[in-house]
Amino acid sequence: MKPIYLDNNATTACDPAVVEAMLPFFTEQFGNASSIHSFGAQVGKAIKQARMQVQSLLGAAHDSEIVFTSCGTESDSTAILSALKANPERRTVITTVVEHPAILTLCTYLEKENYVVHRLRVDRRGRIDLDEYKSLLNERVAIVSAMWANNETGTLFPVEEMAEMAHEKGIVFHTDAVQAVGKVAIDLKNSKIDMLSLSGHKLHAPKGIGVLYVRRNTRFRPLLRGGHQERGRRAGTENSASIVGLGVACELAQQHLVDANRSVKQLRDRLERGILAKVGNAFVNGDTLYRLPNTASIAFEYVEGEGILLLLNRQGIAASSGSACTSGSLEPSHVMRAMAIPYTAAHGTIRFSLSRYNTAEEVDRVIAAVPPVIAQLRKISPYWSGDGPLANPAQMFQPEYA
Amino acid sequence: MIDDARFQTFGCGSAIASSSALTEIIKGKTLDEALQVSNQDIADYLDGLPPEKMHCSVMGREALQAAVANYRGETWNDDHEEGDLVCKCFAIDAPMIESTVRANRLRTLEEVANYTKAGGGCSACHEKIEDILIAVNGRLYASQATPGTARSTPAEGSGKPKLTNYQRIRKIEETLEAIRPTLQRDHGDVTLVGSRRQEDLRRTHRRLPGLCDGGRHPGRRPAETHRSLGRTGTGAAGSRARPRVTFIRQERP
Ligand code: FES
Repeated sequence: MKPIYLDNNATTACDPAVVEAMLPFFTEQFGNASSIHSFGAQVGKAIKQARMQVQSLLGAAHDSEIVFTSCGTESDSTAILSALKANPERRTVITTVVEHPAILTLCTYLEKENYVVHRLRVDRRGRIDLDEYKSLLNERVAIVSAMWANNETGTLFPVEEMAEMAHEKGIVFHTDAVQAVGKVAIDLKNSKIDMLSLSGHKLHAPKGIGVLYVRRNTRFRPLLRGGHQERGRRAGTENSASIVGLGVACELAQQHLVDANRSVKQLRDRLERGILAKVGNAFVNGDTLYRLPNTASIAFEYVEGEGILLLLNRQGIAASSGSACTSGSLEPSHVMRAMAIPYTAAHGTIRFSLSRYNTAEEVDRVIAAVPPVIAQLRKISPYWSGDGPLANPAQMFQPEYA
Repeated sequence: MIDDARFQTFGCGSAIASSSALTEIIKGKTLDEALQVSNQDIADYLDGLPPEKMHCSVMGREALQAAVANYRGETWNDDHEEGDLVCKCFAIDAPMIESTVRANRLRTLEEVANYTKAGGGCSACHEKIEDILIAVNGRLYASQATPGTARSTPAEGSGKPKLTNYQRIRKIEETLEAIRPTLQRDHGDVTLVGSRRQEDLRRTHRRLPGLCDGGRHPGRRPAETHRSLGRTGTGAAGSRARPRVTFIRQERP
């Protein structure tokens, strides 16, 4: 049976049209865009076109605001470090507790370097408190970095509003939009967002290519120095094939933005409803009213996510879980912990993330596959007995000796 | 005699597999025999576990100890503490490093590697170990190995100290001990057959029992074993005074 890929927030398949557009840039179009001869000139033109395709998807005012990088993580690091270097008298960073590790790990490191980091908390649905945010904005803050969409739950932050609030205080606003680009409409020229990160492989372009959008007149300090590429803002020979691929992927994303997202959302809702109708003690995580159209984060109580994933994988279904067990203690993801999801539910959280390539038949196969998997694992769960959870935790781990 | 054994777990895939393996292994054993089952036995039964999942096999063994204690009406104390895995090369976690640093007043990366092995391999974990040293000591002391403070070694011949035969064998044994856990995770082991001076042969012979028995590890050929030993082994050897494994002869069972 054909495998079913529902892990598109982790990475996506390259669109065949993307691959086709890239291929010549490995062979006949191998030139260096900086060269004066014709080998280079063609490549330069192709990069220019890709830059405009990205610009168009983001609704940026100028194509020179698009800086190609190697990945979302590089874009995130560049944005935050740039703001700190360009505004040395400001030593505070505001972010949220549910950011991607690309932001959080960097922030923890900055604290070691004596920067101050405020991490906005979220409620049970993963929403931040705008009043708390407002109270933290002052002239000591160099940059606010908040994700547009959460990778685990799909919850959207009101980044446009947050950017305006930061702008009023003269604070640079950056958003990690790696999960949002291509899934929500973005119009940067009519926003106060100063910097935005995107990653190619989340929208059917290859891995190893990213973008940092830098609004014109934003004070900027490059992370990589050493060449004039990207107008000196990101030195290093351009990854021309991937840049071309990303351009095509952005154009496709723009074409599909409205209709694909409508149908993807229908599939996602069908999946959620179908599973929840058949599996008890399960619920959807995140802000169900304001989230990505493709993401379903479902908590199956009293079972552990990795077991679910392994059993689904046997049936050719790929998803991902909200917990990682890499140390002695089972740790649910920082996102689940931030939302105060009880650990018996956080560990059993599965993220299904769809793309425009998924079909209704696939969704129905998953709806059929999930309930027996959960039932099988609940049989060995110490929190479960018969067909319901144990009411009294003291009953747990009662060995029988025959 | 254990007729039947079953388990419950709210754990990851490796925890489920470890629990299941344990219940299979102990069937037909007496309680005392079952208590001899080590976490390595569990990992072996599963054809190995990655370093960050080894603790799952430890939990399996502890579950058995707890069950036996419970059956015998004894109390069993869980004195086992595990935390974030810091050093992947040697599967050493943060609490282990921290308590060793405290107990022995360790100050440098080198000392940590000497006491715990952590950091003695690929060195990718050095930043995390430094963080622990700073957390415990309040600051980072300069490593002895930094240029300028390098310890002087008695110059003689090529600059390396001459070892007596006994010292040489001791060093080899130490090195083998350091890499043994890594080999065992791959179902291998190593014994010293004999050694000759580099000047004589530039080779040191070892015997690796149990490796590459074809059936259980199809695909793991001697060449791969050599490579993985070369990586972890010579890395583990660390200090330049120690002999390096330069050749391994393997005997097929
Ligand atoms: S991870 Fe610690 S030495 Fe390699």
